[in-house]
Amino acid sequence: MELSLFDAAARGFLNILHLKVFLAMMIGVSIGTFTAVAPQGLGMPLVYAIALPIVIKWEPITGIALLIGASSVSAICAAYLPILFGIPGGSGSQATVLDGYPMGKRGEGRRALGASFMAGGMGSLIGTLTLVLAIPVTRPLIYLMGSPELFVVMLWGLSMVAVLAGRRPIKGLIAAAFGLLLATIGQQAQSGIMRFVFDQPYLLDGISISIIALALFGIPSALDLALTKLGVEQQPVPLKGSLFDGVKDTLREWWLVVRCSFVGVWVGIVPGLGSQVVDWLAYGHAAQTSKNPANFGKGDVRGVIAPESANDAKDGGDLITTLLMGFPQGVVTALFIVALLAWGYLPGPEMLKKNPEVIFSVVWIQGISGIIGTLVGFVLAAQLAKLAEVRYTFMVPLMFIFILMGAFSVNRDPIDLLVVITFGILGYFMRRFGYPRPAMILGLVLGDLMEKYLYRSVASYGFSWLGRPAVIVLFILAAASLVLTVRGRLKGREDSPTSLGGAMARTADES
Amino acid sequence: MKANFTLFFLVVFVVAAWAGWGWPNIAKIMPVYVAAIPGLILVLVQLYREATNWEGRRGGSGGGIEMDEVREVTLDKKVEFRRTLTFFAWFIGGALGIWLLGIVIALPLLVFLYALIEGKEKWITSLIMAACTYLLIWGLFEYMLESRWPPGLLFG
Amino acid sequence: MTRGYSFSVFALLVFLFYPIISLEPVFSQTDFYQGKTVTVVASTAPGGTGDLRVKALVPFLRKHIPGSPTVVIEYMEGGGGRKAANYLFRTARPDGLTVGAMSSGVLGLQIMRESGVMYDIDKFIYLGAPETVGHQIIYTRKDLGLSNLEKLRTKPGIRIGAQSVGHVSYVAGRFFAYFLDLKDPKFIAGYSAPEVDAALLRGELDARANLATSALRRNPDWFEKGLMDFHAIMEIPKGAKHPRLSHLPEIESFAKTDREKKLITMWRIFRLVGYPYVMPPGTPKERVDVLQEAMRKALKDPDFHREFQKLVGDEVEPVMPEELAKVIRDVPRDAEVIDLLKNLSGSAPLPPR
Repeated sequence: MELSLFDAAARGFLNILHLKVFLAMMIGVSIGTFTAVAPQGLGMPLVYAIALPIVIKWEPITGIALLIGASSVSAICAAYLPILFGIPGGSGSQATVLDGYPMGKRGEGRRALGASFMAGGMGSLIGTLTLVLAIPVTRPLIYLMGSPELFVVMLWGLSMVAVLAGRRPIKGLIAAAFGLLLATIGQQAQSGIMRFVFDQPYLLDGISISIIALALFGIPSALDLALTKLGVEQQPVPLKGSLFDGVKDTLREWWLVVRCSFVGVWVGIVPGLGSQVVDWLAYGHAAQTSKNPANFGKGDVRGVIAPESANDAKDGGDLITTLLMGFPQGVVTALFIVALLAWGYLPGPEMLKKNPEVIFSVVWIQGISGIIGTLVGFVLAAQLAKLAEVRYTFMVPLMFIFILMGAFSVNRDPIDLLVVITFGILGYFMRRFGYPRPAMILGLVLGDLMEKYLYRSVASYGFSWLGRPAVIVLFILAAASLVLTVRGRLKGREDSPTSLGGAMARTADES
Repeated sequence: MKANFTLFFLVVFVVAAWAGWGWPNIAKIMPVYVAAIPGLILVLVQLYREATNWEGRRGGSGGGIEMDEVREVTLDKKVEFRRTLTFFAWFIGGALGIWLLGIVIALPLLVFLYALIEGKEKWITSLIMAACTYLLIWGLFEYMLESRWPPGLLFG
Repeated sequence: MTRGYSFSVFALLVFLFYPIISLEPVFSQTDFYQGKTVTVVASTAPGGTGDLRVKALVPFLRKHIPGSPTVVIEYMEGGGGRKAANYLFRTARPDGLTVGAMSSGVLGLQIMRESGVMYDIDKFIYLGAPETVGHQIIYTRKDLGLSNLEKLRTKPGIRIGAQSVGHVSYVAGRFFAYFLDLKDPKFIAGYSAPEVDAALLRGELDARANLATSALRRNPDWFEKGLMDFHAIMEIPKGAKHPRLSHLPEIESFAKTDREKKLITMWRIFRLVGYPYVMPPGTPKERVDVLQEAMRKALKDPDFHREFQKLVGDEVEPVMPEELAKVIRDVPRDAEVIDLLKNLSGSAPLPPR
């Protein structure tokens, strides 16, 4: 007998009202929190691979509670690295470094952490709610966005370079072009042709974006501490702001949280869009649509709220495609599907028809663990924020560990170390000579996707895809977005010559 | 120095365009026509701007936000140069150590030596830091998770 | 305790234990592994379905190797399996303590003379494989109305989707298109695994080739409710009938020449080899015997079958060490067959038959 959605939701909730389910969720939350604060190398894929042989012997709901508890919390708590250390977090927490670290350096680390956890918690809840609402309408959601539509969306994403280039449009575009170029290294999937591989097996699969981001941002941040020989917060500035200031900021910017959460959910839904784009898209959207973007990049709390809410809402989107369509979105959701299959469930329309209460149990666990994760984040934040007061002789070695271990754990290949050194030096010079690193990262994450979608569109439809209604609408929106951005920049130049002069003095080349 | 760094991008885009020129269009569009050639044009524009001090004459960069972290280090140039070199020497030395000795030995050693020599911490403090590093790398990954790190070149 | 007394005790112990110590070399190899660590060099990244395949087997290796050594995994992903294979062949010590869990592509990479191959498949010592990479099928969207082979062959420009050029799904699609004489097929690569299904359902693609077990497990209603038209199958191994798709024509029935039959045999063997476990050349025979026997026991262990099925979702279809070695020895190596395979694996237009 098929259950109504309401009955399924109620049964799903009753399923989780057991002590062992709650304990499993708490174990999952603890594991997720630990992986969030540990160096890269101990990420969710490894945790899932280790946990799976154990949890598949448990009752399904108990096992689900551990797995979902771990993954939902890991994203929420990942912001402390970018804020306190200036090191990009895992996928989805990279853009936070742009404003989170400057906030940390001027004594507002607690405020930034408070904002990130609150935004993450709200994003997680919005993602979960969207998952619930999507249950009756899943199929059209996936089929709405084909390769042509996704290509235009990527174009819109690339238009954000105009924003991320900031005061240096030419240098920003150069950095973005460089990022696009880096994205093409490796064997092209569409043709099998080796591009810029120069007979090096290491380059066959391209260069890992994680290593590049880690080096580009992490090394210059570590260098700052080594230069000043002070801790992050031991600059001659008074400490200001508290966790609750961050909470208030997030509540005040509730509309930004909602919009960026929907960006996150959408990235989670669309098969093939990696988690690496979500925070950059959200950040770019926030900067692009803000009426007063002057402080973005200098420690604007909105630059923390936007990527963190999107990153945590994405989990809800991931689960939509995983549970309701049977399409995994990445390694973690693929492993989650393995677990569901082991328990006898078939993710997709079958599961929706035969086991909707299990889907709702997942939803409830996702929502509850998101709230718990946020609370854990707040409790931890007070302790973690003290790291910013630690002297550089502890902090710099700690950052060495995070950067070297994080980079080496990607492929466990000595060439990873050469890559991290190269991009670390590059990051130093880019920052020194005013080439915006975020623009380069955006080119890097979007380049591969754009090429893929363009190729697939032309291969499948010839050029008739340009006439598809959704494509036309999206083109207009992307063009409008670009025009508004450029107009805003021109207006900014007219309105505030003195602040530009001040910025010019601060960022004058040191050569 | 500024122009030298822009030249770096010039070389990169020229090499990319040259390397990719012989590929079929399907492989060439993005790296050559979308990235390298427009990048090359932009670099030439930037070089012209630097040569003619374009930004200085116009009184500032284009309007917009400061989209990368602003460096506010105010150190004597010689001190900054020396400390930068020292930092990279430690970092590259650590990476070399991982390659030669393996990460399980090299990272704790790096932490110990940096804290002791550069940070002028006490012996015991440096040792404790190294021990914690070892616990993380070997204890967590190799012992608990049974996931072995590759040995260094000297022990391979 | 006096110093003299301590020395006496020490001397007594040495006197008692010396014969045992000096006889160590004559102890059986089964005790060699006691207290030792066996490293499984896995050609996969930590976390992921490849990792699960290895993790499923590791506890059973530990169980069946006499002496119950510690078994750890060292990850060495890269180059499509070349990195781990090169390491096992050139660098790993042949002391019986290193085993390689190779990717399914290592055989094909060498036969097809791909760059970066620095190993020799004929010199590895084979322990066996837990599964083959099973039957391949090709299917098209129902709404295209291609309900039989005649209609399939006359429809021009069928869009066949796949992951990347050279990927198993891509090559399988090319095989089917070649042998079924499809008219001007278009091969559109660059999808991730879940994207191909979505693109098919969306109408962006017309057909795909896929593992039969995978396709039917993900979308049972495609078969049960006739939402897709299934056209042909490549049996791996040859003659092994799929329980639900035995009615589909086998691809070799479309082969016209000896060369084409050898081509299918070659590719079938590549898939049959699955994810092989190997030891470096030069490993002492006694230790090889111990590990091969342990592997045989593990592959037959019903608990392993259950665990593997749960974790990986596939049945264990074990390939024993001697069978694996034989299959690899027997793979055709004719130059013209290899050239034809390289063509089918690449992105150039299909050759005429």
